[in-house]
Parts: sequence; C-alpha cells; structure tokens
Amino acid sequence: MDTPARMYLDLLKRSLTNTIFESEPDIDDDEFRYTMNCATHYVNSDAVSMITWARFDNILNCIESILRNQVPGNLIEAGVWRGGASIFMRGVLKVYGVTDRQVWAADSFEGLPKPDAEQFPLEAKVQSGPVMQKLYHNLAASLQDVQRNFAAYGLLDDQVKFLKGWFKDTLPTAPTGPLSLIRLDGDFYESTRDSLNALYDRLSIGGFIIIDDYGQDSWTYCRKAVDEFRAERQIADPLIQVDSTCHYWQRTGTPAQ
Amino acid sequence: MAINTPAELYLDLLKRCLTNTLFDVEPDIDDDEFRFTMHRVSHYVESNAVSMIPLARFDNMQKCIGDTLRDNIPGDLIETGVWRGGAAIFMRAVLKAYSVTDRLVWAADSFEGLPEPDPDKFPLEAQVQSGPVIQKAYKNLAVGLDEVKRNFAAFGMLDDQVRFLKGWFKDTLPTAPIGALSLMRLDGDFYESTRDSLNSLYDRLSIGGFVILDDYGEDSWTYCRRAVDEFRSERNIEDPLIAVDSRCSYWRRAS
Repeated sequence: MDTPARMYLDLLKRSLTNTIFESEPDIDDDEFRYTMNCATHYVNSDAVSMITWARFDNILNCIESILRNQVPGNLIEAGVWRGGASIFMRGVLKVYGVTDRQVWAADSFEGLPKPDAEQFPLEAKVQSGPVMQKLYHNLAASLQDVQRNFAAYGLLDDQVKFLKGWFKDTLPTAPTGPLSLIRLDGDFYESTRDSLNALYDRLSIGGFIIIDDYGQDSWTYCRKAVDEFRAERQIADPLIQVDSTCHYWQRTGTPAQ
Repeated sequence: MAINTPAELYLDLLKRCLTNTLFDVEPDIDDDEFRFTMHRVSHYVESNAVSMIPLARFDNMQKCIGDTLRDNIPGDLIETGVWRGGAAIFMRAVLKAYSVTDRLVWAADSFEGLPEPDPDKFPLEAQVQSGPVIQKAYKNLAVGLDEVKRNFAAFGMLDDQVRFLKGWFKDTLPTAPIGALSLMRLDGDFYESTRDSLNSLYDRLSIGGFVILDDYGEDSWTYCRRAVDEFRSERNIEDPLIAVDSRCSYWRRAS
C-alpha cells in the first residue's frame, strides 16, 4: 500500500542514495568493482549515504516495530559519514509525527581513527591505503557538512543531537537516555567495541542493534568485536542478516543457556 | 507554508528533487534576465533536474489541485509543453499522495522541442527560437518521449493514470479523447501554442477549475500574454488573472 508516509520515505531513501535515476551498486559484485562503483556512485555525487536500500528498509522496519510496541528510547547512529542514515531516522520520526524521541549522530567528523597496526594489522593497512585515503577521503565529513545535509532535507531541528569526538571519549558520558535503536557504523574493532560497551546497557528490551560492518571481514575486525561482546555478555538473541555484510539483533533480555 | 502531514512532506521533497534544489538554491526569477537565463541553464538544463519552474509554481499547482479535490471539481489534469516532465510528474504525484484514482494526467508535447514561429507574424519569437540560447543552451527545449517516460518511472509515477499526447498542439489537442478538465497548465511558451491550447481545451475546463499560464509574463521573447489577453477578451472572461510570480499567472474559471 502506497501511503503518503511510505511514498515520502521511499523518495527520501532514493534521494539520499543517488538512486532516483541510477541503480545502486551491487554489494555482491566483485569486491574491487563494488569499491570503485561506490566511490563513483556515492562519494563523487551528492549522495548523503552509501548504505544499501536493504539497510534503509531494515532501519524503517526496526523503527516501525519500536513505535508499534512502544519500546522506549532515543535512536543513535555511531559513525554517520554524510549523515544519510541518521537523516532517514529523523525522517521516519517526522513522517509518523513522533516528537518525543531524539536522533543522536555520533562521529569524529574527521574520518576514521588510525587503528593500532600491531593489534589490528588489516584495519591499519586499509585505513592508511590509497583507496580509503584518496578515494573515500578517510570517510571524513565535517559536522558542518552533515548539519547542512540535515537542513537540506528539512530535518535539522532540536530532535537531532550531535556528538563530536572519538566514541571512547563521547559515548560513555553522552546524555542519550534510554535507546530503542542503536546503529553501529564505525567500521573498526575498537569503534565497535567502544560503542557496544558504552551504549548496549541503555538499549531497551525490544529495541534493536544494527551492526553495519559485521560482514566486512576483508578489511575490519568488526565481527570479532561483536562476537566477543555477545559472548562476554551471554547474548543469545539471534543475529539476523540484512544483506551480505549488515546484521542486527533485537534485544529480548533472554540470557544464554 | 507549514509542512506537517506525510503527503506534504512527500510533495515538498519531490519538488526539491525535481528542481535540483535540495542542495542548491533555485535561480532568482527576478534577477537580471541574462544572468537568470545562464543560471537556469547550469542549474536545470545541465543537471538531473526534471523541471525548471520555480518552487512557487509547484506550490501554486499543489494548491490548485487541492482546491479542485476539496471542492469536487470534476475533470482530468493536463500540461501542454512538458519539457522533461517535472510539472506533470508532480501532478500525478499529488493525485497519488491523496489516493485519487479517478483522474488522469495528460502530458502533451511535440517531444521534439519548440515549433518554428512565423517570423512575419511573430518576429520576436522567431528570432529567439532560432537563436543560440534556445538552440544551443536549451537545445530547443526538446526532450524525447522515452526520456520523459523514464523520468516518470524514476519517480514511480508511470502508470495508466498518465497519458501522453505526442505532436503539435493544433493537431493533437482538438481530437484528444479528454473529457472534462479540472486543471490545465499551459507551458508552450509561444503565441500560437498558447492560442491552440486555449481554443482546444478551455471549453472542457469545469467551472471551478484552473488554467495556469506559465509564460504570461515572458514578454521579452514571447507573445504569450497577447494570446491570453485576446482569448479572454473574445470569450468575455472576467475571472481575475492572478500572478504566481513575476511571469506565471493563473485564473479560476467561475462561469
């Protein structure tokens, strides 16, 4: 059913990802070709997000479930690049008339941190390499650019909060209150661990946690960070696949057997 | 205009997508004419924009359609002169956002660009139409039917509530199988295009319907105003002509 709300969110998704006139790069394409396609299609265009449509649909499904089941809490994205996924979160709240939840956008706004080369050799190599530095500009987008993007879509208001700095410094003391949706897109092991450590205890039962980079095994240890955290906390909630890399789970509060 | 409902949010975002005004400000219609023309070329013609009309005209169209729906004014919607399709796409989208399934959108165009005006009768138009700005910068405002359909499809608006009329207005409009109209948007620029559209379509416009003249104030290169003024005078139309911006005007048919 094409409700006006669905029409809005569909156009927003297409506009954010530069897919009104072009199709999105195929995430299951050859890795090198996909990387090059993403640079041309997203980085070198007006696109404000480089995540797949499937991930936008996943964000929407999660928020609709949260609203339907009245799961309390704000929404946060850790690692926002140009802001697209956070803008979409704010757009979902707006189109459904939700005024009592905030969207938190946490980022260094200076790009990826430098991973320790001894502990995280793969991440360090990719982060300092020409693809990340030259083609993706180290995934850096300034706070000003991100705020401009929110404003371009008419979604920059006091229901959006920005947390500028490294996750380990900003997240532990951030006054986010309870959370209903946590979207981790910090790519690396430490970014992911720091986010989980600081935020997971604030996630309401029934809320969702999305791990954008869980399957990015060719250049991150994100999976290891998540698996270790889930093992330590005895989290048995099933990890569900969104596409070949992104995964999420819903917090049920049921401990592992 | 406060934008609150999901339909309003959708239509506002659509306008901005169609006119390439999410990240760039629209060219100022009241700027110096030369600068405005050059700015339009770079902002609309050379971008992915699907319409080059100002946002104020989209707001006006939205209001007109909203009024016809609210007042149950019967009839389809038509645009004569569609360029890349943006305004007609927007009409279809307004119907869709308000779940209107019993009205069609008609998009009439040569899909080959502007006709050649007779230089004896319409010297200004003939000069501009054959000149470098229209021919080179604006590519004679020509857009193929396939491309217009592709644009409708890109916005999810290509379906059987949209009809295309390909050809010169004087050939297609008199016999076009359109019933009643509730909105006619004339954007054919020139005297004859405007007169041909009015002659063929005005009698089908329902009482309470709207006629929008995109080029009424384009006096520096068209005789659109004269075509409209003559038609209104011949038909004794006294419904007030209302300015949307410094060039576009409309009236609502009262009788």
